[in-house]
Amino acid sequence: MRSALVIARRELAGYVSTPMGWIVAATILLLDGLLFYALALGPAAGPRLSAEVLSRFFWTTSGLVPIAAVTLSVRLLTEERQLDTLVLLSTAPVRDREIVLGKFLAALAFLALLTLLTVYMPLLVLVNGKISVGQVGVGYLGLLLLGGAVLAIGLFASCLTRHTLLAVALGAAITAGMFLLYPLGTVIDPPLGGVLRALSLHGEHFFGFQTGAMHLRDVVYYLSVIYFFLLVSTKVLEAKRWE
Amino acid sequence: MGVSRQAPGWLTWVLAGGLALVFLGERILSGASTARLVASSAGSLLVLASAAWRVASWQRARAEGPPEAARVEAQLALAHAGCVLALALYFLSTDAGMSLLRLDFADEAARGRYRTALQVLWATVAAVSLLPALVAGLAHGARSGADAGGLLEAERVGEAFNAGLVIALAGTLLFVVGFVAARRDRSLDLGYFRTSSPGTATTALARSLHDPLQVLLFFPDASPVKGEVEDYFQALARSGVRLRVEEHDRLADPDVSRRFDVRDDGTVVLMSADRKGRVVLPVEMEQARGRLRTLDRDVQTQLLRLVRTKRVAYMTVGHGELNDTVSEADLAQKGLGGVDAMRSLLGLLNYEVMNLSLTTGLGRDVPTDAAVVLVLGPRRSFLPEELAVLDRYLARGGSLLLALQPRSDFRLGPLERRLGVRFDGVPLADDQQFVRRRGDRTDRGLLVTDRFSSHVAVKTASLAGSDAAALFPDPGRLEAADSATVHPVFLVHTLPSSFLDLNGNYEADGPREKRGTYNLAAAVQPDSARALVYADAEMFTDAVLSSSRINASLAADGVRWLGREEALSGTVASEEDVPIQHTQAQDVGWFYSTILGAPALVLVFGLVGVRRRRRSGRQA
Repeated sequence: MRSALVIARRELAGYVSTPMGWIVAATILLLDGLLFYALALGPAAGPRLSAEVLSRFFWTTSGLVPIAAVTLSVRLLTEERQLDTLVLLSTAPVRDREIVLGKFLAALAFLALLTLLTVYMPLLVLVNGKISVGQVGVGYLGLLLLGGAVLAIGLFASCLTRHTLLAVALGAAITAGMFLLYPLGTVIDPPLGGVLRALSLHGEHFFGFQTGAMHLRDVVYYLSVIYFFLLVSTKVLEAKRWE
Repeated sequence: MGVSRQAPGWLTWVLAGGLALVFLGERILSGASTARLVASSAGSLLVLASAAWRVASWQRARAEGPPEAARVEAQLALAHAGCVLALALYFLSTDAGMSLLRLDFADEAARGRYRTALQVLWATVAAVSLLPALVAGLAHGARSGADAGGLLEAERVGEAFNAGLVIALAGTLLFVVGFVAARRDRSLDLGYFRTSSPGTATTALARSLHDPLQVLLFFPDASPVKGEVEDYFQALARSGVRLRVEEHDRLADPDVSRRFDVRDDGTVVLMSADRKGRVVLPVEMEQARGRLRTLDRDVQTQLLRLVRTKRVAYMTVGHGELNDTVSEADLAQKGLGGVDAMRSLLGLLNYEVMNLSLTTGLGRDVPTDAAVVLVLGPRRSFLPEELAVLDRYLARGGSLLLALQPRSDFRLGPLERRLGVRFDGVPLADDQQFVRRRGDRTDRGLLVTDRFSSHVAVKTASLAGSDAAALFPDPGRLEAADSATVHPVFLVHTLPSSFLDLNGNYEADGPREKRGTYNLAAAVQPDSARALVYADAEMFTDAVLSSSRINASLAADGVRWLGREEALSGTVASEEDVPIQHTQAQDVGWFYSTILGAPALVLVFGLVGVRRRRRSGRQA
């Protein structure tokens, strides 16, 4: 675990000590602000109850967090391969799962920082409306779990190839596919439709977080997705040692 | 010799193809019996053939090949056999399979349980068999051309097989965990919730009771709602109201329940002297949340029944008023709704609302039981006889609420002299302070103002503070009539940035369209009568009353003043959610802070930090 934390610290420093990390953060904030203003708060959105405005904020942000997560995660291992530093990492006295965990934790920490920077938007609603701090907290927990799940998917994609673009395409395709399971599940007959909806990354697993209701099933789902893709990433990394 | 010699690499793909064909037949072609039979049979045959080939290959490798190759073939054969087993389990879960086994179930539930168990089982077996086979097949295929040495290659394929198995088992386990979590779900709702506290209007009302207030709570002991209701009444008692709270269990105290005719748990009986009122709440917190947010409103309604009997409020009809059916389409098009909210408010204040038309009194005389008459936004003029009836009603001490609308044919006639107020139908606009709703220039007609006098008819609004504004959609203006013998008190004024929009283009163009503070409401007391005149009627529509608490307070305080109940004026506490609305100026501020301010701040902060770190690194 200590090795994982050392790797995480090194990776996190890489994010905050380069202009790119801050440019990504500012871009995400700008887009989130635009969406928040256009779809939730601004005159075009019409007069809405404060809880509804907050729910829309989390809904729009839940579209941006996966984009940021894919962008952040795909470079984690592809970059190591491109710079030929993965060999150094692989020959170091660390296990593959520690490499994967360390990189994941670093990306998750930066994503959390990036997500929490948007907190001024719910606070604007809190000033004029009737929402609770708990509702805001649950919404952010949902965003972090969703972001963590997409980070794990992106990390898996970055394990598969040394080309960043291909990794982005793969990560985005898996994420989009898992997002689309929900609308697909609504048109397919049960029991398969129900299974697809239950596997969907967004949809019914995120609705509760939007409204301040935290469900055990949703938390378990996101943690399962994170664990599963980190496990697969570790296995892929182990298999790559044979190359 | 490499392991690839034992069986072709594509055999695993034949297995996967066979299973896909079965899926196609059973799920997608299930409606077409022939196609289903062909696809499912072909798929099953492929699975069986590939499994047989793999087993034969394993036997051959065991007899002839190196032991490491035999081990890999054994693993693959096991995976293929697993897929055959999954198919068999699937078959046993179908109607055909069940009839083959001659299974007889006690009921449909038992049949369903059997089917579900087998469905979970075959899916699990298929996953833990197919995935390792595919992963091993991929690893196998990747080196099929190279003869990397038997032992190393077998190790590699074996490890890939194990990795696939671990992933499949983990996936299956997580699936089961997810299923159990969904079935035994627990939730924590942290959405906004607070029981309303007693508002000043309720407190004033309770204090005005001659006899002490008795509150009887009929809740089960375990109900968490009881505590919330108790807290509310304790807060009311702390504000100087003489009250006594009694707790009863409806089932344990059947005599008391019968005496107060209580049939449901969650009943709150309010009693003063011989009058009774009741509020019935759900006993479970989940269902009671919404009602507890507006408990003060419910209690106030019941207290009003204890204070006095129901009164009658008449709304005039037949002149295109807001409450007239002919106005419905127009109001709906404007997105304003009707006047249901106003009717509810009157009901809350213990008024019964009735129509007053030419046939029901407006042609002869206002009925004697009229506590108040409301004229809400007439678009057509009243007959001289109708105006004379209203004039006579005021002369004998009646109460009248007149809400007028620009661009209408209505004229005050003799009422102008009686009330001392003249209505100017030129609409007002404001290009600086207005509410954004439609996103175009017409929004400038949605005036907001926080300029209220200290008159009791606008008491709550005047005490609400500078950030509390009322909305006046497309108002006209009021002036003192020239030949008036009574002097109106102007209650509400526009902000100084408003102007007369003579040409209706929502622009302040020309000296005639001058900016200034204009009167929007007036209170008049000619002799013993009372009248309120508003230069806007749409401020009493559903869309406005439900979104602006200040507008609602103007309506409530106005009706209380007209009904000589101004002592009961005050706020109704509510924890109901409120719409987020802001003026154009606030919009601009919010826009720049959310769109540009925050991202720019983060960027500058980040880049300065990076630069500093680099500089200190160079110096070091």
